[in-house]
Amino acid sequence: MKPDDDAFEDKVRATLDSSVSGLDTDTRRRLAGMRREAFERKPFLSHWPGFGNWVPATAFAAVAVMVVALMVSPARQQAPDLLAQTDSDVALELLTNDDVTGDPDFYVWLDIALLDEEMPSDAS
Amino acid sequence: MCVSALAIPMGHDLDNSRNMQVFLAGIEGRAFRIAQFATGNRDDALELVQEAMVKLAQNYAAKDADEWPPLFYSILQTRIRDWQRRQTVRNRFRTWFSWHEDEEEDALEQYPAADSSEPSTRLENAQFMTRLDQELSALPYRQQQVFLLRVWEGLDISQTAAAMQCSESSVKTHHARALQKLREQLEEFR
Repeated sequence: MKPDDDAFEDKVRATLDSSVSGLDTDTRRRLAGMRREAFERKPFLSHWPGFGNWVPATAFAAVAVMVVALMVSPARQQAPDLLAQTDSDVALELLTNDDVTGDPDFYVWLDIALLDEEMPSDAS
Repeated sequence: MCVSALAIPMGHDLDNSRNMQVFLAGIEGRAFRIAQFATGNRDDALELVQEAMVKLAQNYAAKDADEWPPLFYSILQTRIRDWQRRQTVRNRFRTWFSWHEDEEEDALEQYPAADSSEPSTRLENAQFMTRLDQELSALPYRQQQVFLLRVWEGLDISQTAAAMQCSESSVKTHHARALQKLREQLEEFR
């Protein structure tokens, strides 16, 4: 940059500075009012006290409630019902099926045989 | 212990708020003029400066005071670019519907003479001011804003590049071109 450029920029700077000091009263008043308002106007989220603290806690609690709700929801409860239904069906089948009820000794023998397989050392 | 732990940041915030108010009071006139050069409209310029003030006060009061000028001008430049985009869309509608409005203001209204110098010097200064205003307004947006941020606001090249969202080499180019044009146009006042 040439020395002339520096002198020119100094002149421009001084002229622009004087244009600011010569701003009309209304503009100055509006700028001052805007400045004050900028500090009075709080961000939306800070309107509620402690917003930054209790929102994460609330979100966590909401998620926890949703998880619990999903766990105890009717869809989830359907599984034990199905099991109960299945167990009762098997019991009914055992009671009514002649093939099964016809030879109870077979089941006593089967239980002992399975027990022996599970615990060979005890059997020996 | 809890009381002192709370009191320190609150006092710090208060100091920061006061310091930022002092900072804004010092910068608001120049910011307004910079926005006015970009928009050519007083009310729009005031609105853009207000938005920049609010954003700075709400989001950056905790930052170091040294960071406020580049942050403030980054925000202001973003607002100016948004304004320009809105204006482009609005102008298209105006063209379509042939809706013309004369919103131009007399630039001289912005400069009430409050000068104690000799009348001849005052006249020359007033003429230079009017011409400078015209020539700055006539510059392309980037050249104009880079010149104002560098020369008037005193931002360095990297701060200006950040505010203008362009490269440092672009800042140098825009500055050099703006300076050259202004010197050519204002040659008679040397």
